[in-house]
Amino acid sequence: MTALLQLKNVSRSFGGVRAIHNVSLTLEPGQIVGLIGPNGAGKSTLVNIITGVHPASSGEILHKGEPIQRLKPFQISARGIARTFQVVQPFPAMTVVENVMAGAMFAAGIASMDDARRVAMEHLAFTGLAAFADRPAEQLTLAYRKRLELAKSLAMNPHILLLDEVNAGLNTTEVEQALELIRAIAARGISIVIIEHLLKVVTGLCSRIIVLHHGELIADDPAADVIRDPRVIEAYLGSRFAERQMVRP
Amino acid sequence: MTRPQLLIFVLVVALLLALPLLGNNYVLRLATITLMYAVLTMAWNVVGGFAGYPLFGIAAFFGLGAYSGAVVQSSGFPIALAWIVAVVIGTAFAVVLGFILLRLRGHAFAIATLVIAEVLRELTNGWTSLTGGGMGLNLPFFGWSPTALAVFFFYVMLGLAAAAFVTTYIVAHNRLGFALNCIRQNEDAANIVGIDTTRYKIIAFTLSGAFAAAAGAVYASWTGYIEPTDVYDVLFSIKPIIMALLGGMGTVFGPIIGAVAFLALDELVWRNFLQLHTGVLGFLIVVLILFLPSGLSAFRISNLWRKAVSA
Repeated sequence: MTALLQLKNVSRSFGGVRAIHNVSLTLEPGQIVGLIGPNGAGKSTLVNIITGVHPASSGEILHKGEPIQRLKPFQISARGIARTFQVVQPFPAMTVVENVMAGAMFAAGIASMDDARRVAMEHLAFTGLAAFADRPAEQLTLAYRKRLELAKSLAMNPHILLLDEVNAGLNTTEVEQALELIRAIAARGISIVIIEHLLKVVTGLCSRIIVLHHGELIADDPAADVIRDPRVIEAYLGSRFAERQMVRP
Repeated sequence: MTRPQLLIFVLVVALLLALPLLGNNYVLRLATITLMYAVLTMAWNVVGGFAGYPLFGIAAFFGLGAYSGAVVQSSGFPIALAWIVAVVIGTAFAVVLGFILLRLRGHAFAIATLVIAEVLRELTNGWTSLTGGGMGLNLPFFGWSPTALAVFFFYVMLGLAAAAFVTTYIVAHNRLGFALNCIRQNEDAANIVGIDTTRYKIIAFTLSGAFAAAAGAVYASWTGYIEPTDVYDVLFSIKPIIMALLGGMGTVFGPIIGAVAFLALDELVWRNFLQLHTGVLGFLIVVLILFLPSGLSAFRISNLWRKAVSA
């Protein structure tokens, strides 16, 4: 069986900096995968490589068995791979519903603007933004703008959703609400890769965790194993702390 | 369009159609120039207004259209064919140029488009065998009466303006306009939501080029004599931008309102302040744009009333 998404020895350099080095992984349908790593580990770069924003310098990316590493971002969106940005990227002067319509019209290819608006309203209702439909996107609070990113991505009718720190900058209540939303999205059968700094969130959501460090993949295991992995502890907390952890029974 | 808008629109169109009945060639000439600038501003508005790319190169397409049409017409071909050739050349040039220049953004795009008209002017100057060089190019004389000519070119320009308006209206209300709107606000995000930004930008650029070239070709036939410094004048690039600013960038009616307002102001100021004409005009435009940053088309009497009450 071909994997939904497969990365084979993917690397990307910016000048002399190896941002991603020789990363291979596969994503199966219906999985929620956590992507973690210290700051600068290359998490966002990996998302940018998959979505075509920064094409891979070498390696191969297969989507349902077909290579996509040469495609442009809009083509990758149209194949059903959607993403959100760490720094939210709305169309500020357009209304909330128009923002979502953009995803429905272009990536999902809905021809009629009326149909696109109807679909957009459904996604706004699902993400709890229906009341703000006709407000300009720039008037939303950060928490709602993050939801708008989600609604926009969902309108693209994806089967893979890459979430780049959707919880950054949110307070505890907002994070709880965002998590519920992500679980509801996963329940629709959409595979999710979530970049996250809050370990509580990752372990609560994901059955599997991928760890990047200095652009290299250092772990790809079930969640429970990853957080005890000495290499992971070392990457986050340094070697001395890792040794101390190992001495304990 | 709302009902009052439609009413005003129908009224304006009816008045325009009846304008030649006045029998005043001065008014007709002024109206033809206004319509020509309305076409140029609507052409600019597709790229500059809807897509938000600072286009400073309308003069390049205007001049190219003028010379393409003039060369064909002076070789003895019928006028309609000359105009069609001009539009085809303008369109083809826009596609090629758009493909190259639309990789640039912001200031770089503005400067690059500004230079195109200068390059074309020099080429036209140098290619004496075809274009007559700096001597200019005379177009065949129609042999019609001045009034008949004035009426004919007025209706041609009106037809062209109508076509540009219908195009603007359609663009603003379909996917192309939606995509350009997204590109203006956040091009990276537009790409990510599945918009083929390159393709839509080239379509917009091509529409701009085609209409500016058509206006240039009609202008050449109308004036009967063109020279490089005239038709590649940088003012043909700048004025449409000011008119769009004045009327409302990225709106449907803004370009027409802006063109009319600018030329009315221009005429008024020129008559009353012969010595200080450009200075006074510039001052008035700065004041208008300062107080109405979204342009005259955003002006509402009710807003004025609300401000007066709350003040």
